[in-house]
Amino acid sequence: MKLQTDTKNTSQLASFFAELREGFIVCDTNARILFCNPAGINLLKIEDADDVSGCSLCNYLTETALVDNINLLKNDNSHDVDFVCTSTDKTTLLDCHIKIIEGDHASKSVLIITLDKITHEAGHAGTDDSLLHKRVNDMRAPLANLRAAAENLASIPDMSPVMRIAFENVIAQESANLTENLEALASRCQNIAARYQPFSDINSKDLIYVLRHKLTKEKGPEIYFNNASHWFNIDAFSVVTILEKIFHHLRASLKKAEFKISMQDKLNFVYLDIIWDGAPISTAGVESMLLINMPWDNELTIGSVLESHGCDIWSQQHDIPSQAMLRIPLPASSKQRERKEPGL
Amino acid sequence: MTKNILVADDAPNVVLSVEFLMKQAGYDVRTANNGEEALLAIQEKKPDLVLLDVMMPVRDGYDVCQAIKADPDMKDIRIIMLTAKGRPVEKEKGIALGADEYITKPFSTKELVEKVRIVLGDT
Repeated sequence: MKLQTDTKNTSQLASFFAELREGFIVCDTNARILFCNPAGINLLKIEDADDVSGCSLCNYLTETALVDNINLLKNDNSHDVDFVCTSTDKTTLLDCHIKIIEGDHASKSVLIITLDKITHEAGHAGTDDSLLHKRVNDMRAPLANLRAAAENLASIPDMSPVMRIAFENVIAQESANLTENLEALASRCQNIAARYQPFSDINSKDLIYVLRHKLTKEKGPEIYFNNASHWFNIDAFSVVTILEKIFHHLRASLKKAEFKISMQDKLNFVYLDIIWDGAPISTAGVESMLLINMPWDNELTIGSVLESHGCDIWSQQHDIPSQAMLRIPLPASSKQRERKEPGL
Repeated sequence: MTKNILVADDAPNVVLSVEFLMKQAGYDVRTANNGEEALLAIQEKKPDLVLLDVMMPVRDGYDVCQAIKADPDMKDIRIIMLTAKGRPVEKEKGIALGADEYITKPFSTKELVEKVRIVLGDT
């Protein structure tokens, strides 16, 4: 009787995992695969599904992302971690969640890994954040004028009647402006409170792998990167798309077929610098780049996606005098410092 | 000799306050309502300092700043950006493009006058 029930449960479980849209993988703590469902086999592009058991997951996902995050789980008190990585053929961005289930003994602990392909559905972070930021900034100017007018009136008692009336008018006008802006801001905040934020951690190598793959496929410019490891916290799909568009734009406007990418950590940002031989681009040129639309939403632009990341871009001279660069500061992962490089 | 300041901003209330403040502080003041006007005013008479709004019609403040710093005859003009763009990266952008100071709105009038004096070496 018990055998029959066990067989039935196993069969139900197998059917559940087979129908699951997400990839579901169980590994030991050294990332050796113990189980992988069909969606996982498909997402990881595993050719020989029968021999997958016992193989290292590092054979199928980018090693840096996997090793850094497993080490984070082993060394940290947290039990799960989310990040974005790529399949080893560097073509697909995957949303990855790893949970550690601790056994009685460390050797009995297992990792439960779920994977899902990232599509442009996730890449719509821009509009609301961009408008919110604009609403906040819209309040700064009236507030500045209000404050300056009040301070002028208070600090100069013998001000001429003409100037006094002018500043009193400024106070009346700007108070009305502030009230209006505050209402718009409150309404925008309500919308944003319910919105999904598709930001995840992604390693620089994964970001560049996917970008390079896309550029090669579209006969875009060649990019060179020294493979330094930096962790971003971004909407990876949108950022890859804007970088792709920026490179196409740079190639067309600068008539260059090759660019170098360099990265450096700076406070809460990782600076992604696109470097070329020649002079910086004019500010007007950079501004025009910000107006380029995203392919899946006409309201979204490179500028609004960057704004949703709290970023701006500019072009300046590189430290090497014959070179110039486009600097793109992107948010760094807050876990950057906790991540360790050593192998499993 | 009295130092000359150009206030470039498209918001009349900002121009009114800042012009008044700078005159009170003893400077000669001219004004411009957009980036293009600012560059014309600079060519007409070179100021010691430009108080430059970032978001202006025709040519924005970053563009004007870059044009000033790219011109060998004008690049010694001091620039203070006066802007509603308050993020650290936006400040860094202003400084990277050649601004001497970057003040985010709303600002204190006392702080503005102090920064102007420091940038002009009048302290």
